[in-house]
Amino acid sequence: METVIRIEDLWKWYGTREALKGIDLQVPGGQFISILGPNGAGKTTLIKCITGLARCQMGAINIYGLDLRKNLREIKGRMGIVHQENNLDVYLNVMENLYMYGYMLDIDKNKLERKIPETLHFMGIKESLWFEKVENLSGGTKRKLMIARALLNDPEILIMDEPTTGLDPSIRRLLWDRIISLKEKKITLILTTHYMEEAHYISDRVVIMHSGRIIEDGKPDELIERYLPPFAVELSPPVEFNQEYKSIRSGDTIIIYTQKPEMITSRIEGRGLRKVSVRKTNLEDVFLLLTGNRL
Amino acid sequence: MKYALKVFFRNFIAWKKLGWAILINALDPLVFLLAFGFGLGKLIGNVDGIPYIQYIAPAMVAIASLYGSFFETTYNAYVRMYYDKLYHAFASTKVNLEDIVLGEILWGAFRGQIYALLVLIVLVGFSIMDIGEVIILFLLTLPISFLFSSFGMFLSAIVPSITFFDYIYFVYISPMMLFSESYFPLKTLPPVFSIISPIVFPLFHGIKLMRTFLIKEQIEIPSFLTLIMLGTIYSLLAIKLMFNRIIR
Repeated sequence: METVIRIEDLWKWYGTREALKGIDLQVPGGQFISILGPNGAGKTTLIKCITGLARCQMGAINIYGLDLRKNLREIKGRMGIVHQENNLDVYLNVMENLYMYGYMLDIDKNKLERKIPETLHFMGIKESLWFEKVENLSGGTKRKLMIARALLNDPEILIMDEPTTGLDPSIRRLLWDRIISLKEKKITLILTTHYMEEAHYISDRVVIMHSGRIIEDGKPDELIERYLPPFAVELSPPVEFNQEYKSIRSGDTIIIYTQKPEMITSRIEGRGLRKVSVRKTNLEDVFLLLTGNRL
Repeated sequence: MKYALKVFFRNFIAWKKLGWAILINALDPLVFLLAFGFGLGKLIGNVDGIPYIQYIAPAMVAIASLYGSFFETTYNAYVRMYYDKLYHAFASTKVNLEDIVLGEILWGAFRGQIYALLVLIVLVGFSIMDIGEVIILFLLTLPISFLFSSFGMFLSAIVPSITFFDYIYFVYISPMMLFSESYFPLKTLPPVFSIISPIVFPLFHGIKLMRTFLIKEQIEIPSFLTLIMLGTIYSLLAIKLMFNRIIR
């Protein structure tokens, strides 16, 4: 697959603080990528650089072979961008928000009149809300509208900065399904999140960032297999275990990773532990192992 | 310019929705015109050889233009930028940041022209000016609206919070409205005012431009050029500093 986004040795400072430290990233067309990391990892800064909303002091970003700095307007015309914070136009209603955004994207009026109802239906926004003022919408509907807005120009690349943060689980799941259905349109997606489940569910590839660097990059299942056995046993309070097992202490819990969880559980019977739970190893465990922090 | 006009159009659509409430700021210069021109003017008689109402009329038009443009690109633009985060939304389309700043300045200047027009209509209504004079004065307010719109945008790019506009109003805008030969000639004050005011208060040049036309039917070219030059400088600074603020 052709590389549509090529980022080379990207550095960004805010004053003396290094926000991005030599980011290299290549994104093939049609791939869904999640960028994972805790607050301050550099995810949003990276997104801002890709969308032209932050200037990087060193490095290069090429999108469709075009230098982002020199071709910003053209590149933005082929992108859809969903920001982390709500920036819908509170002075306009739902339809007007989309109309104005499409107008600023130079979308032909006839096409816009067709695309607006289409995207509103696609995002599941009820017709009864189409002429409602934005301030009267629920948080979930506002977020759906922001995604609808980003889809108006049939973007080839969709950039979403924490699109489901702060939403309740049912809305989040609904948005995930909408986002996944965009695969049919061959869209390239870059999404930042600190929900591991979201990254696993949506993405073909996960990029883990920590302190301004990319520390791991791969398919979600492959990343888990690369670092850890398939099961995690959580014990609280933490107990000492021999070092044949990979384990991590997290607060007042120890997580022991193993191929055979029953080997662990049988050995701790009768020790009076407050919590014993067995689950499948997930991306959060990989993140914890790599960074020493939970997301 | 095409994309700056898109920002202008967006502001126009949002403005239309507010109805007549949007013209409330224009009441201020109108109230001053009534109070000083028709009220106090009757007691004062002539100033610089002309009736007081005719002396302050061009100043009221210039001040209306300042009100409309300055308040639009300070408080209102700041709310759009900082609280509503609309600049980020606009900048996610084909509109770039320089288009946003330019569109806001054009919009602010338009608001200044609307306010000036309201005062001019009142002046025609009271037969203080004729239609011909009003048309020329309306055109002469353009550089004033442009300057204060650009100045407001420049401030929006640098103020740390919206409350700073209050300080700027009390410390700079309010004295400027008083000491720019708007209500009285500066020669009534110590000579230092006549030296400093034209340097630090650009409204002085706006009022001089308007008044010179009304009295002598001449265009005061140095004042006209000063307004255009300062407006251009503030516009360029606003673009540069807004980049530093938004695209860090």
